[in-house]
Amino acid sequence: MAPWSVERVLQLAPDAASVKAGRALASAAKWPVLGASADAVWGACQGSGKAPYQTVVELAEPAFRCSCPSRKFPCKHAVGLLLLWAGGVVDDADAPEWVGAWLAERSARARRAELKAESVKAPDPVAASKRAAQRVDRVSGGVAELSVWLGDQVGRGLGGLERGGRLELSGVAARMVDAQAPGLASGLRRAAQLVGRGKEWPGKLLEELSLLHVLVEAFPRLKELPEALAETVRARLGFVTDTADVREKGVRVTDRWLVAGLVDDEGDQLITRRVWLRGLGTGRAALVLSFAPLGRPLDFSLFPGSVVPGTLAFYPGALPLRALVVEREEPVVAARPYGDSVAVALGSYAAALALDPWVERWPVVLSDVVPASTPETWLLSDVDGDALPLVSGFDPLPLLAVSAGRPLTVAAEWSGAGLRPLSCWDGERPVLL
Amino acid sequence: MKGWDELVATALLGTQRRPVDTAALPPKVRGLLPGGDATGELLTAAALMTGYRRAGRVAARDADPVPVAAVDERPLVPSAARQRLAGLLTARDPDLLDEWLLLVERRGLRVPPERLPALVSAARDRVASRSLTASVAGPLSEWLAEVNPEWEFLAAHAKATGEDDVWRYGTTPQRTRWLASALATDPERARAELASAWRSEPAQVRVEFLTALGSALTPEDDLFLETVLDDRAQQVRKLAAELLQGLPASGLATRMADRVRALVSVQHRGPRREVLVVTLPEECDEELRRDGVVATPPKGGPRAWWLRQIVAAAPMSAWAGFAPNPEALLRMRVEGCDEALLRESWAVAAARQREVSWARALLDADPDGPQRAGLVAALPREQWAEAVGRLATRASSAHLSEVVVALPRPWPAELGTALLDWLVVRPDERAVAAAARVIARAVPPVCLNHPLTTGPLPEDVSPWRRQLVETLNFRREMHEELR
Repeated sequence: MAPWSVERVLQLAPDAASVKAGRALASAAKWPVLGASADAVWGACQGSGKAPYQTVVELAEPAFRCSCPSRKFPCKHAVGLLLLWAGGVVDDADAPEWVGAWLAERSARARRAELKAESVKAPDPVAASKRAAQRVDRVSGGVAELSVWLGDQVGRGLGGLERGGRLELSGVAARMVDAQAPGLASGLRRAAQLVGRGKEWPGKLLEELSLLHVLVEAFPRLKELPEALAETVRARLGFVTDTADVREKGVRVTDRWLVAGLVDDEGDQLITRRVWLRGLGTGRAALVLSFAPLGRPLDFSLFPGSVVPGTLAFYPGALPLRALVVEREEPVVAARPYGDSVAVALGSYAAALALDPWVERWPVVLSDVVPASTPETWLLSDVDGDALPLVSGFDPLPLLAVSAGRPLTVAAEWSGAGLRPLSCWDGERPVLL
Repeated sequence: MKGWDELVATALLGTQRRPVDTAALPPKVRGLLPGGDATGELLTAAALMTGYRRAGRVAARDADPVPVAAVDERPLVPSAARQRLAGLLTARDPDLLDEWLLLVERRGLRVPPERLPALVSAARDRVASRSLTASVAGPLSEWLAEVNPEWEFLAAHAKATGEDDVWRYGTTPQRTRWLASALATDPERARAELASAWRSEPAQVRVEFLTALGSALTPEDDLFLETVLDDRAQQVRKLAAELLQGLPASGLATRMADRVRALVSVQHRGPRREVLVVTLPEECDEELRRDGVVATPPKGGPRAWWLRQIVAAAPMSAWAGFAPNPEALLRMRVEGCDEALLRESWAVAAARQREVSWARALLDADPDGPQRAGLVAALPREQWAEAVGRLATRASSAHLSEVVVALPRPWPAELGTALLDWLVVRPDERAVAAAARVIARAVPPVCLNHPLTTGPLPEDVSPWRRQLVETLNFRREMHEELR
């Protein structure tokens, strides 16, 4: 396999300290044993202990293993080893026994997992459908409860929520988790964050609650809805389509996928990583989600600023956006893509809303925009003078400096709150923001 | 939007208290309403309006585009160096960052613009790096200063050269910067401008200007500085006196020399038995205070304190009449005052005046004496390695570290090699660790291949030694990436 770029390696490091430590270890003198094959890179590094640490990186996933006691993942040895490899100083070699053993063990484990998945899949259709029916019952209960609660709130007035409303909403959210409707729960948690914030909060809260109301109304009528819309409602309620089903039945699109950017959302215990893709041939938008507990590394196989030729399988729904990577080839650096004007981007968002009124964020690529400002906010303005505001809390200065007042192409996430730029191009060079 | 505001108003008060008024809603939205109970109607209407409003969002039209910066034609720094910059910005190691910036500036490269905000923020807290940062930011400096008022200092550095308006209408940092650069390029005009503007400037500005002048001092500045000794502000007077003390031919220096000659004599008490007899000053009069002598001692007796200041301020030439050379003077016994006091004051004066023969004599007499750092720095650069080498055999690690820190960079190669050799054989002490940190960052690039960096590190190596090797390797890679 061709070595990765240093940038891609550094993206793996869990923190800045690991980058520093990894760089320090990226010197061939520190590695008495070094080698690479098509599947893996390995080495033995002299550490503070008596025996050298043995480090292996399996490149496909990638997966890491090191005999050092570090709890960081990947550890500095793995980062240093990959940096050496990226620098082109690791020669191809036959894997020593300890490397071969681990790789073999991994592939055996993967096979076992596959077998297990197959055996689980078959198991007992009666039990499975019973479980599914139980869940539908529970969700129905939750939906009914939420329907009554929503009616009570607007009957008595949302003004009553100004005091203690956050707690109340979080409580209802927790009950929706118990009712196995996590989608409703997250809508309620979002609503809880709105209460009392800024002058506009009653309107924003009403928006959020009204969209929940529509979900609640739609659930009992799932069978009457068009199939794709029914899937969207199910997904918004929190029913997750099995990835195996997506791989098997999801609509597949093959294209050269521009990795437009990624955003990590830190929750209480979980980080959600949103990676936005855009098909350079089809113009299609896709969202690849990955999750990891706090402090654990996230999926970094889709590196922003690159183009990955490959095939995605989309989750079902009226607006298929979320997708899985089914097949991919080696990424290449992304040249500046074609983008849209603000008017066209807003039009695409309106079209998306028509298909899925609950869509929160919509990916856009704007071309020839310049940073602009009003007394209240920073914006991006296109050649027609149409401008969209940036979300508050986003640091506009790096984007400003790249632009220097001249038009540039920007990939961003659009939501009602504004644009959140993800990447832009300095000439033909992609820049992550 | 009226229809929506109606819905929000009702939702806020509650449908029990306020009717749902859908009259103002767009007809197409109204047509979709199901009727039924009030709460259901309100929530459905709100959901429809949410989609309606989101889908119908229009772009803002009143935004002012940011100004356009001049084009930066320099080629972008290569990829490996860009990645190193990302690491440097998080590492909080100003020395290494400055070295990187200097290399980029010398090669005439453009830094990745998305890193400029972080670079400029880093320079905000490090005044010494500001002009380097402004130069690296190139045509973008002024633009960045315009976009973010907190970065105004960038404009001061960018505008400083060339534009004469800056001297008349600029801010104090801009004007100081103009003065400093004009003192180098057109010294006569710079001094004329300074003299004509002098009296109307506030005290703090006078201090800034005087500091700038201090870095470009010539014997001709004596006349101007002499007038400044009568300045209104004490801080300004003090600074002028200090500057004049560094000018051995100044009026102030001459007066100090006269005072020395009045207080000191040599008595011959037999062959090779010469004694330096010192009389302590009787009083600290108006004239002495005008020349920068402080009347009240921080501790101890005032007369010794006055002597200390007079000797430290007097030109070394004042001592020429007492002995053929500094060595001979240093061999004499001293009466009338503490010998250590005299030596310390000589050392202060020699370091300040960069008197090579005195610096050498004082270091020969005691390589580990007072002011050793300033004295070594007063020697010609090619003698540093030797002086530091002698110091290394005698002085404590702490004292050597202190000298090492004070030596201005760039260092000659011999000094770098000598210090790295010294580190190799040092035991692990805290003071050595501190010196190693400085040495790792200060040795010139040719020393970065020192044998220290190539051999494998022993298992039980101490953290500072490991860091030393890592820093040297880091710098070598940095130089290779920007070769």
